[in-house]
Amino acid sequence: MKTKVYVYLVMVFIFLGMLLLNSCYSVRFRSVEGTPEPAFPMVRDDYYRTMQVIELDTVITIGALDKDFTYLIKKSDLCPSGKLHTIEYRNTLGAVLLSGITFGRKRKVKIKYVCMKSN
Amino acid sequence: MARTTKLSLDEWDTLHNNGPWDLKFLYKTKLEASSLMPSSLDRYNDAAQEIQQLLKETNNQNEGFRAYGSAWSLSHIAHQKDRMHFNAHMNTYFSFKNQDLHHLSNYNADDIFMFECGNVIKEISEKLAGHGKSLKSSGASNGQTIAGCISTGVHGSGIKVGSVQDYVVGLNLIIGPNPGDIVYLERHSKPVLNDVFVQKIRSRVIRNDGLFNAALVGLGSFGFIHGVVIESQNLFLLKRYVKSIKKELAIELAESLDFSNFKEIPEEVENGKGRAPYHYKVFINQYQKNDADYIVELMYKKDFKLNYPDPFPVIKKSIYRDLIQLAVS
Repeated sequence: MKTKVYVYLVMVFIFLGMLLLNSCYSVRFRSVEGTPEPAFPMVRDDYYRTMQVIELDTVITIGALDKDFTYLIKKSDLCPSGKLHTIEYRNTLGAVLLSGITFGRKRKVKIKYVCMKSN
Repeated sequence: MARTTKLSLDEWDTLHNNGPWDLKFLYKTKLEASSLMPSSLDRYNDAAQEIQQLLKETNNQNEGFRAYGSAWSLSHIAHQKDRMHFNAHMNTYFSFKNQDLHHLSNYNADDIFMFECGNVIKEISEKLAGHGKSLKSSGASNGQTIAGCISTGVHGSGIKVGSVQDYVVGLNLIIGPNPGDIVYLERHSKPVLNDVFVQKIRSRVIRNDGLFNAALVGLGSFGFIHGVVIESQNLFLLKRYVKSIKKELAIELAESLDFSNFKEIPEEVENGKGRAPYHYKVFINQYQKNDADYIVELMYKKDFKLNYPDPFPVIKKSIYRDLIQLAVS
């Protein structure tokens, strides 16, 4: 009996693990034109090592009748041009669950973006 | 006014993590906003003044100062233990008209451009494309700053063209904090810009072949490279071929650069003679001692047109294809 429970538990964990792996992914859009805003100082060790990346990790609220949400990219010290070079969005199991539990009203937004280098 | 950010750091490293090495201060200078200072010349001169101020501050502390660009060198060569300056945000540029050229100049004014030190190769290519022009050659990638590129001798070549530093025709150097410490250096035998323009960038002119050649790949030792004057050429396309040919033939072509009898690419044969490529490269697999054949890469120059095939799928595939050919040859 104990073995059966153990096997069931392992199967549930494997299923959850697969669900977790499949639901976590990133999609990156990168312009082939333009030059990214350079990082200063260069401290990252990932894809964005040379780039001044801005990370946005927040939860937005969308009304029942709203179909989209616009996030404005504005000029700032980290984004002096105010123009996009690269944008990456990440989907996670937590984001899917949050959206499901709140019937789509709360959406997790996890984005990295890099601006074009200013002239 | 140009704005400088000064960070107090313990260490500095290259893109490829060849360090880290000790550092005291890291600077970054940004040009004044064009909305506040619309003239590129004013912003350029303003930045030069800012760099002189930083040099003065460094001199007063009896410390060292070195500028760097994208930090791609795979060694400590760009490092300085006291103060370093990241120059990628100094990126304005100038084009010229006939009246800006020296009266003995043989250059075409449309081909001459001056790029501020922090312009990266990709940025320069895009700016030049806006004038229907192109760099003559560049390295395998395009993220190096122009000043870093020439002062460290980045690879890349074209037959009868050379690497990036080979088509540099003038240098604007900041060699100290005092008036008169901004120098415009070009070859005496091939003058480019006239003294009127040199005065506009508040520089004193030195026309000397030996000094120019020494400063060109100077690893930053001749001063802060503020501006680089290059000779560009009309936009062009490259058609690339990778072939496996007899080792003797590959070496003979490399030595003679005479391709008139090389007819293995029918598309590149003209009037019964092989066309001369723009770029020729021999891949040598050092682990294959008894190679009868070598892999060679040939690039032929073509007229520019807008509707050329998307190069990205070809580039992605060709890299792997070359490696496979090398591995199995």
